[in-house]
Parts: sequence; C-alpha cells; structure tokens
Amino acid sequence: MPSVDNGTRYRASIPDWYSVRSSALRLAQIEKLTDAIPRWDRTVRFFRDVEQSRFYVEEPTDFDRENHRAALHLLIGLGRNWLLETQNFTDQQWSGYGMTRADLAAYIADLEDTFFMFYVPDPEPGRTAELQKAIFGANP
Amino acid sequence: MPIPKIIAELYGARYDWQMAPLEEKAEMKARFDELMTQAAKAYGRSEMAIWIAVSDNYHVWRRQNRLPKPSPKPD
Repeated sequence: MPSVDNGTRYRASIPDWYSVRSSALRLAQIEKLTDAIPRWDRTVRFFRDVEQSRFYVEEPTDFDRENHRAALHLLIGLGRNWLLETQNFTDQQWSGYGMTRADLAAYIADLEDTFFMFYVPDPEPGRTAELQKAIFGANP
Repeated sequence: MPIPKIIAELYGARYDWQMAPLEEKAEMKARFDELMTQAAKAYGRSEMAIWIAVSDNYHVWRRQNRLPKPSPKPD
C-alpha cells in the first residue's frame, strides 16, 4: 500500500513500481478492449502518481529510473498493439469506447514523449546549449 | 531570468496533455502542437530542437508549479 504524507501528498514506495509493472503485464491478458483500455488508463495514471512522487517530489534513484523506463516500455507497447488491432475500426466502434483513435494515439504519444525526455540522449548537445542560452538567457 | 511566456505556455500545455482524461488527449495534444509550432517559429529552429532545449527545464517547472492530487490505485 502506498504511504500518504499527512493525507495531502502521495509518497510512492519502491513496491509501487512492481505494482505498476505487474498491472501492465496483466493488461496483456485481457481480451476485451472495452475492459483493457480503461484499465490501462488507470494503470497509466497510477504510473504518473509514482513518477510524480519519485521524480518530482523526490530525486529519483537508479532503481526508480530502471523501473520507470521498464514501465514506459510496457505501457507504450500495449497501447501501440491496440492501435494496430483497431486500425480498421469505424467511428461508430470507437464511440463505444468513449474516445477516438486520435485520443488513444495522443495518449501513447504522451508516454513516448516522456520516454524521449528522460531516456533519449541529446544528439547535438553543443547546439542545444546555444539554443538554451537564446531561450533562457545566460543561466537557464 | 524568467521563463519566456511562450515556453511557460508550452509547459502548461504539456502538463495539460499529460493530465487530460482519455477522451480529451487528442485535443490537449493539438494545443501543445500548436504552441510548439509557435515556439519553433519564434526561435527559428525545428520543433524537436526547441523541445530538446526546453524539456530539461520542464521538470524544474513541474516541481515548482504542478503537484496534482493522486489517482486511485489500479486493479
């Protein structure tokens, strides 16, 4: 169970990373997309809570980064697989899910951008530093 | 030095995209994309170059500006 800091802020514990990954792995066993996608949504939101706690409230450890990275791979992979499975869906079929294909694609892109921000190295750090100076001034 | 207005708006849009309910993700992403286009035009660089340059500071902005309430634990 996650601990709660005086009821106002959630503090993730290390086992919460296991909960995220095991929840994601269980999603792959669900056949009905009408069940799987809402549960994936809840899993992603819990992932974001753990990320918030371990990356933004506290400083992440290597353990946090390894689990964060693994969880992103799992969640993105599931979403991408469902995009493929639904590529011939009609608008009427999508309306049964309460969202559009564009919504699912945008959700996956959100996760992919998180992976990009945290784990893809900058190919041109020198040029980036110059641009940062132009945007933020001498001390970004 | 304060964050340029266009970048602060971009950060807000990035956060809104992440936090949006499933059925609003496309709309929020479209807003972020629109602001990215504006920022790319303002600085004369590609959208990817802009995001690479500002995304590190996004984490700082998140710490200082956005601490959402937690969601229910999944099944």
